[in-house]
Amino acid sequence: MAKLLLIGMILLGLCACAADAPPDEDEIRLMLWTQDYWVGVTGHELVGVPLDDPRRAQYTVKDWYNKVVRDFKALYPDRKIHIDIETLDWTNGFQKIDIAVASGRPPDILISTSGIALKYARFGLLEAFDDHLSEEDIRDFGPFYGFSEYEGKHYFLPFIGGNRYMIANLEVFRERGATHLLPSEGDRLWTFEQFLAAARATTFDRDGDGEIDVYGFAMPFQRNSPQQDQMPFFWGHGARQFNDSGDSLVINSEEGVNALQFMVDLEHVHGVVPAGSAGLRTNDVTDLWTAGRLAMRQAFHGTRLSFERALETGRIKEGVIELYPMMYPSLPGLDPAAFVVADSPCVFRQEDEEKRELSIALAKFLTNTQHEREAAYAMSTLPTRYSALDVWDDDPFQQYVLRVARYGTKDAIQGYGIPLVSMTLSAFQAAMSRQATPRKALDDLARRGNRFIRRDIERRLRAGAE
Amino acid sequence: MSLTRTIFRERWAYLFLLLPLLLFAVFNMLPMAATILLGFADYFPGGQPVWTGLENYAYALSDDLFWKALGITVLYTCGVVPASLLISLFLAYVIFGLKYAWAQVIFKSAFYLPVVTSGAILSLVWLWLFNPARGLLNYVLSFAGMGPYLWTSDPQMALPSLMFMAIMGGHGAAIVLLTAAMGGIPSTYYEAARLDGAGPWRQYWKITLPLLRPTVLYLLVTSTIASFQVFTQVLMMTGGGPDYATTTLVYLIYTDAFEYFDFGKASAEATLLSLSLAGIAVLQYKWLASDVEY
Amino acid sequence: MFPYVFRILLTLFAVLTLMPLYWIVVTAFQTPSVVLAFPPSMVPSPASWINFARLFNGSEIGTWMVNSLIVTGTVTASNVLLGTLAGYTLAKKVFPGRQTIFWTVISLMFVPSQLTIIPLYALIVQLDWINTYQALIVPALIMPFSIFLMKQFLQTLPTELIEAARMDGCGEWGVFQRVILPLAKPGMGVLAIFTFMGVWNEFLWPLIVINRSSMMTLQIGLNSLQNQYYTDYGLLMAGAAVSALPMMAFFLAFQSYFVRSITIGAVKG
Repeated sequence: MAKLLLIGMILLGLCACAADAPPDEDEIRLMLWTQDYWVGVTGHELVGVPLDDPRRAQYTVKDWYNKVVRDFKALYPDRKIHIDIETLDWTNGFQKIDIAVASGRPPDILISTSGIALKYARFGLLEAFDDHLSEEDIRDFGPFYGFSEYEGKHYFLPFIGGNRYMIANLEVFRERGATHLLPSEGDRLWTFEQFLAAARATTFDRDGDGEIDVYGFAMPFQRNSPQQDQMPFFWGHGARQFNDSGDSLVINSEEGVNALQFMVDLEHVHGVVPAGSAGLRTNDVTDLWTAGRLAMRQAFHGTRLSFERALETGRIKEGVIELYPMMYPSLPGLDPAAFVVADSPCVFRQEDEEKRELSIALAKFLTNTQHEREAAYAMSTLPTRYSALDVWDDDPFQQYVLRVARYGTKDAIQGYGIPLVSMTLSAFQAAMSRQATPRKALDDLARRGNRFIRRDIERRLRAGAE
Repeated sequence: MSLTRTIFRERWAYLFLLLPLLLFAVFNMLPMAATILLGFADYFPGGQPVWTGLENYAYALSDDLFWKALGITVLYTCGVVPASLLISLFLAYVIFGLKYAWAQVIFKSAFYLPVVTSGAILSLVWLWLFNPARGLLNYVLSFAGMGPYLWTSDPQMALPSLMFMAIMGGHGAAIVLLTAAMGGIPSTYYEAARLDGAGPWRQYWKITLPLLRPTVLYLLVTSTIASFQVFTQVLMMTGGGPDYATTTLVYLIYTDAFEYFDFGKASAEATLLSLSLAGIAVLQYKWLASDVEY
Repeated sequence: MFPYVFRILLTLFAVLTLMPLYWIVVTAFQTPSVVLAFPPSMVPSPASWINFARLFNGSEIGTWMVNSLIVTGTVTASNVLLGTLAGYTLAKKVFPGRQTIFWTVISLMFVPSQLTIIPLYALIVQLDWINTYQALIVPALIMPFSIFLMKQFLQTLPTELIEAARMDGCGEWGVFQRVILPLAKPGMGVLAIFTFMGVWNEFLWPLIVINRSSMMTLQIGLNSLQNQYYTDYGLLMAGAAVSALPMMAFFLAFQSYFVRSITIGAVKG
C-alpha cells in the first residue's frame, strides 16, 4: 500500500513534468526582467482599499508591463513577438540575475539600477545604445544619459530616476524646540557643524528612564550601499571614492579620512547615533524612524510615497512623523554631492540581428516620454527626460527632490562601484567598531581594492586578446 | 576473469545503483567537474574559458582574506559541531527514556519545529532577537542587569553570536535520527545487560553508544559539511561583517563569484574547500567506522 | 533524582528552542502597527487575522502550495525509494567498486552548491526546462545525503537476516522487498522527513529556474510578496506559519514510523 503510494507520487510528479506545451518555433521570444514594478497600471489603484479587501487580488505587479508590451507588439503587426516578463525583488533578484549571466543565459532586457548595468558593461556583455539614439533623445535624457557612459559608450537608457537626500522628522524637532537648527534657505544646504548641532539637540531620553531612546541620526553600515549611504559624507568633505577614469580607489585621501573620522565620532564621541552602527541595517534605521525615535535620516525619491503607504497600513501612526526634506551637510565653501541613479533598461549582447533590433526598440519604447511620466507617477520617482518633468508640477515635495538631483555625481556610479561594495563596507565597519583607525581602514581598503582592480583589468585584457 | 565473474554475480548491486548513479552523473558530477575545471581557468560570462594553470590557486592562497575566512570557518565548525552533537545525544537520550509515546512526540516536535522554518525566515527572527536596541535577548538580559550587548554588530561577538544561533536551533534533525536509531536497537541486548547487573549509564556506554556509531558518524560528517558550508545566515544576517568577522569560506567564494565575477578564483577556493572537507571526512570515517559487530 | 534534572533541562532547552518560533506566530497575528513595539509584546494584542487575509486575498498562494506539494512529494518519494535501494546495496552487498562508488557519492556533498549551481542552471537552460516542474524535480530525484543516510542506517541490520531470507529462496528483489523494506521503515521515515523539509524550504534553485507566478513554489511566491521599501514582518511571518503547517503535518504523520515499538528484536523474535 505504502509502496503504491510512493510510486504513485513519483508518477504524478513525472506526469506534471510532461504537461508543459512546447513553444512556437517561428516566434521571436524576448525575456524582460525588471526590478522596478508596482501594483496595477497607475500604481494608485489600491489607494484607500483596506489591506484585507479581496479587490487587492485584481491587480498584479505586471499590469503596467503587460500594457506596455501589448502596445509595443501592436507596433509590429506583421511579426510574432512573445515577451516574457519577470519581476525580481531587490534582495534575491541580484542572485538570480548573476547566476543567469554567469551561466551565459542572461535575459534580453534587464531593468535594474545604473551600477548593475555598468557592472555587466565592464565585461562587454551589453549592447551600446550610441548608434540607436537621435540627438534629440540624448538631449532630452539630459545628465542621466551621461551616467550610462562606460569607456566611451553608453549602456543604458535612463528610465526611473532616483536620488538621495536627507529628511528630518519635524515632530521630533518641535518636541525639542529645535526647528530653527534645520536649514531653510534655497536648496537647504548646511555644514557638518550645523548638522551636528541639530543631531545633538534631538538625541534625548524621551521616557525618562535614564537611557537615550531618541537619536538625532542613524546610518546603516551593513548590507547596504556605501555609495548611497556613506559616500555623501565623504563628498561633503571633498573626498572621492574613485579617480576620474574610475579605475583606482582614492578614498584614502586626507579628506576621506576626515569624513570617516566624522562618522566614527558621531557614534563614539557625540553619541548621536545608536551604538553598534557597524551592524546596523537599513531596516533597523527604518524601524527606528517609523517608531518616531529618529530625528533625521537619509531619504530617497520614494520616501514620501512609502510614508503615505505606511500611514495607510497603520505601520506609522498619525502625528508621529512630519517630513522635512533637506540636503546633506558639507564643509563651508563646498557643494554637497549625492547619489543620483536611474534604474534603466539595458540590453544584453544579442547574436540575432532581429532580436537585437527589437530589444533595443523595446528599451527605447519603455523610456519614451509618456512611459517615463507613468512610471514616475506610479512610484513617486524622478522622470529622466526633460519632456516628462511636468509630472511633478503641482507637487512641491517632489519638486524639491527633483531640484536637488542636480547634486548628483558620477563618482557614485562607476563600473567598479558595485563590485567593491562589501569590501568598502567592511572597511567602514572596521572603523566604526574601532577595530582600526579611519586612516588604517581606508588604506587597507585602497590596497585591497586596487589589487582587485589590477587583477580585473589584467583578466579583461587577456580575454580581449583571445 | 574472476573479476568479470564477480561483477556478473553481483549484477543486482549494479542494477540497484544504476539509476541514482546516472542521475548523479548528469546533475551532480557534471557541474562539479565544471567547477573544478574552472579553477584552472579564467572565465568571463558569455565567453570561453582561458586556461591559466595554477594562477587562481596562487592568487587565492596569497589573499589574506582566504586564510582569515578559513580560520573563521574552522573556528565555527569546531565550536558548533561537537557542541551540537553532544547536546543532541543528550536530548535524544532523555527523550527516548520518556515513558509515554505522546511525550516523546511532543518533545521531538518541539525540537524539530525550528527546522521546518526556512533559513531565511529564521535569520530574520534571530536578527530581531539580536537587535541591540529592541531585541528580546538584550531585553531579557537587562533584568539580570547585564548588557546591552551588540551581538552581531560587534566584530568580537558576531561569530560567537552566529555559533550560538546554530547551537540553539539545529537539533531537530539529529534528535529525530538518533531516537529512530535508538528504536532500532534490539531490546534483547538491554535485557541481557540488565541480567548482568549493568546500570543505565553502563548500558548507555556499552550498548547504546556503540550501536549508534553509524548514525553518529552520519551526523558528524553531514554537520561538518553543513558547518563548513554555512552561508544563508551569513548572507542574510551579517553580510560577512562587521569587518570580515563572519566571512566564512563559502561566503567568500560567493562574493568572489558574484560580486567580483572572478569565477576562476571562486572555483579554486571551492576546490580547496572540498579537498579539506574530504580530508576531514576520511579522518572521521577512520575514527568511527570500524564495523559494528552483533 | 538524575532523570528529573535531565527532564527539567530538556524542557528548558525545548522552550528556548521554540522561542524564535513563538515570535513568528505572535508576529503573524499582529497588526502591522504593533509588530515592532518595544518592549516586545509576548501576546498578539489585539490579535488579528489581517496578515492571513492579505496572504489569501492578495496572492496565488493556493497555486504555490499545490506546486510545492507536487515537487516536494515527488522528490521525497523518489529519494526514499532510490535512497533505500542504493543505501542497502552499499551497506550490505559486497561487490567490486563499492568503496569507490560510496566515496564518490560522499564527495558530491563537498563542493558548495553556490558554485555548482551555475553549470547546473546552464544545463537546465540547454534542456529547455526553465519554468517547468522537471527543472525542480529531476535534479533532486536522488540526493547524496539520502544514500549516505540509508547506508549508515541499514549498516546496523543483522546480515544473518538477509542470508536466512536468501536460503529461503528469495531472489535479490525479494530480499529487498520482504526483508529490507520492513526493517528500513524507521530510516525511511527519517529520510522522508528530512527530504521533505529540505525540498520544501529550498529557495535559491526555484528562484532561479522559475520565472512564472503560476509555476512558483511556496517559498518563492512568498518572497515575491516582499516590498521594496521595508520588511513586512507581519505578512512574512504569516507566510512562514502557513508554509510550516504542511511540514508539521508531514512530520506528525511520519514520525509514527520510528516510535519505539519497532525493534529489530521483535522481528528476530
